[in-house]
Amino acid sequence: MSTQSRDFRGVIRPVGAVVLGIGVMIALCAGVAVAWDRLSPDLTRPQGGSGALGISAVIVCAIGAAAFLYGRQFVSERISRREALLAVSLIWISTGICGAIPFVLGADMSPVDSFFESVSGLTTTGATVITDIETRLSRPLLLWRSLIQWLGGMGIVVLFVAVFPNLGAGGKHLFRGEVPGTTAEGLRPRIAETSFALWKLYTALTLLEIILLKVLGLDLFDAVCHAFTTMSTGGFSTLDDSIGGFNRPAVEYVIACFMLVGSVNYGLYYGLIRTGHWRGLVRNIEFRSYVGIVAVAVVVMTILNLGVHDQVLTSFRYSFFMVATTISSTGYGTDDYTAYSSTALSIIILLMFVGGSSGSTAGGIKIERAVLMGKQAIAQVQKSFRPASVQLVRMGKASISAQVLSDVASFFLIYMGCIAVGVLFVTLVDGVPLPTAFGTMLTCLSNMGPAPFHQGPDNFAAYSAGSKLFFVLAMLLGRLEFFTLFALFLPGFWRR
Amino acid sequence: MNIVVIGLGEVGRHLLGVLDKEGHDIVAVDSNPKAVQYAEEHYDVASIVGYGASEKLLKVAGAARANLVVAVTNHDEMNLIAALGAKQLGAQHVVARVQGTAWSEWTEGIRYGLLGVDVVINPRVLVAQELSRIARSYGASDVVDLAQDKVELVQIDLEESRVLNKPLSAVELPPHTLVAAVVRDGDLFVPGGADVLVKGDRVYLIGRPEGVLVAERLFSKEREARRVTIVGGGVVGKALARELLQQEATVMIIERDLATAEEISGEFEGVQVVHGDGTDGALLEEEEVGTYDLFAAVTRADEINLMAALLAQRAGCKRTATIVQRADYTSIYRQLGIDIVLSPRTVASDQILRFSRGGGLHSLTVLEDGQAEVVELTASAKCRAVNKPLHRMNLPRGALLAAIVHGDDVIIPRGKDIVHPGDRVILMTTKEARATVERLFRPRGE
Repeated sequence: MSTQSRDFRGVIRPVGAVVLGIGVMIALCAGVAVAWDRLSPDLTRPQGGSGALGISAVIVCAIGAAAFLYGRQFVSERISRREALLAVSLIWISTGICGAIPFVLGADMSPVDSFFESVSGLTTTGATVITDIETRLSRPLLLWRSLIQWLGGMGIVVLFVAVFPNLGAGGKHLFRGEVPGTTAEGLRPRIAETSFALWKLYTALTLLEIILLKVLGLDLFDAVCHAFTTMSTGGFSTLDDSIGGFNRPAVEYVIACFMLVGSVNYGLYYGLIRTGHWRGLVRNIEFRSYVGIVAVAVVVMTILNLGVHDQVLTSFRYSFFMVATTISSTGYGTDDYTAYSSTALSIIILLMFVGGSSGSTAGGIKIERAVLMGKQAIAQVQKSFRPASVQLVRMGKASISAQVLSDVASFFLIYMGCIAVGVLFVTLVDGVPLPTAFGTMLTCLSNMGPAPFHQGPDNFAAYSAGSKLFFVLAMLLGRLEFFTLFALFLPGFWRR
Repeated sequence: MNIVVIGLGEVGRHLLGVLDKEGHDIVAVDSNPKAVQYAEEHYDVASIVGYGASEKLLKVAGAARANLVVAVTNHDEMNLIAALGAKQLGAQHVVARVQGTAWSEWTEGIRYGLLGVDVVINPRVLVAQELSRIARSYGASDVVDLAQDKVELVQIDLEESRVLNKPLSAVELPPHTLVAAVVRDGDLFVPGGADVLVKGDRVYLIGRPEGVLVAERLFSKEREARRVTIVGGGVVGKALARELLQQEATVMIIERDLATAEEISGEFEGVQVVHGDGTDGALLEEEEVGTYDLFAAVTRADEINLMAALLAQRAGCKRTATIVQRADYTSIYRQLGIDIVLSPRTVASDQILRFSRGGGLHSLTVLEDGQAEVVELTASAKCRAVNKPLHRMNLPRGALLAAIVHGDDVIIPRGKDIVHPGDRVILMTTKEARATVERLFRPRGE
């Protein structure tokens, strides 16, 4: 076998284009923030910050433009699978770095902390290293922090594919690199139109939530920021106490509902709009399982939490929000779950494992995979006493191929393996207790945010720089669903 | 345009490649998961694994909303049923390919409305007809009839001749003909009066058939093929023999299968049928194929065709022709010295692609792997190009208005000629100029 390495310079241009786009986004964000501060200043928050955004925009645009122009000479006719995987990985890493620059310049944070915050936003994890959000971050920076989460929610690469429709089949490889999923059926025959349709839906839902939150009496700034981080199921808040800081049941219910909406497969919404029939949505096995899990979890949690909250309605309010924020992997908080019973906490952990539906903005293993693994397990058990029986695993009307099933199984294996390795790493480097390490790894890999079994305040400020970078990797792995990033670690990927 | 392609063999894949580049919404269907996976990987299309002629599948594939449904699987019957089913669901245009002759005597390569299918194409018959036109020409390596045979486009590979090494303006072309394009080292360009032809160029001549015939003699030393050897007595071989007999040529068919050979001998009077292997050099010598004007290897196996043609060359035959199933092998065949290489796949896809363009297109001929194309269309009263002299039409570089068919009259236009509404025009455009030309000839507001 020849050990010559491959020529991957073809990815410089697309990565440059995305970085340039992020630069433009920072500039837009700065512009909006300046206008906002001028038209309706809010003196309760720290001032400034738009200057830092402006400088960051210039830096990021310059880097992006340089890479784009330099990469022009290496353009390949069509983006291959390998190039797509590398490009998607590089796009996420470089966007994370670019997104961190405003925090370094504007909020006096260390580069590692800024990088953690930026990637936590992009991957819609929502874990934070900032202990004093309300006194440290000015409004321009808060807006940027919410905006990167919104961009990461539906996916930067999906946006890129929508904006550059002439990528052809290469666009499809890119799309798959970011949105793997077991059923990657397109909404439209062409991938660019699919991407565009997804972003339109996402934007429309976000606008709807902004309007609703505004009607319910939230400040427009808070409404925009929270809508950005709800639809992306991210979980960054502008308040130290997250959603609980508003202490308004109506706002909590609206946000909980939108979190649940955001963790349903967007393809189902698209089908609903196009055909006008509820049938496709209602008959979908994953959707049914999702609704079932949410309903059961809410009822059980409400009962279990009667010990913490005396009244049924209060218990329902907090339990409903807790289930929604967990299964959607958003990570907003309204309630102190450390007071919960162990059973309630176990349910939360299980929900974190499962996560939302495939094709949504939520993280975790995904309901579809969980259902498939369950069915496969039952089929195998049945084979133990009836070896001759032929029983294909079915999802609705479609039978699932062995290839997909082994994909799902290896996904699960990798997921558990990552948690195991992560627990070893974190307990070794930071010396935290085992449950704490487990909680942090689970929250990063499922892009959740708050970490159960945490000691002290629920954020990541206290960890060492090495652990923070390790968490960054875990968040990226979880968001890109392992295969894309892990492919780069195999030597065969680089060899000819 | 919404397009469904059923069958992802050579033609299906080729169509996907072209249609994908043109930006259509395509659904690709095949019963073989491997073929579907290939399409998924290489083209930006949606895909379904399934039996193409099933009603359920056609519904899922969106045949009801499709502007064009193309059935090009390897099974004639499945193609016809799929096309019919799609038509019944409401597809705008349906096209089916058939390859056999079992239930219809094919004297035409294309039949419209057969069994209720808009267009049924038999590419093998089309290829045979093209071969017979080439046989009739003087040294052309391809001949395309346009505007119901009123205009002819021929391809000639230049060897020694009188037109070389002087400006094109000094070459006295017969009236009503022109050099539409020149291919040099694989690159196609539209020549001007100052361009000089050199040995090894390939030229495309266009004009009235009688003028083109005269021009051919100017460009090539070959003569019309009066005696033709055909290897393979299948669909192509028989159709070719039929066409050649109509041109009163002498035909010899070499066929390996005795029963088929006997059947051909019974069917065609005056054809010399030889039972034997076309790749048997001794047989070719014995039958003196070197004394024939043209040797056409048209079996279904590419390697047999190639070997037979190479052996015929060695036996002294000056012009050799083959058909090739894998269209991408064409250039290799040419390098090996085969004069005429035709692909049923390309012929079929040319016929199908014209439906993907819409807007009064009568024919489409793709030249040199898509570097340029010749289109034939009716100029609508509402398009920008009508009622103004050619020199004010603002045709882009790389585009050529090659002929105007006004009633029965064919005009090879000059600067002052005008396209009237309802005229049929024949345009040659490079792929760069295509969008601009389409804008000129598309009815305004469409």
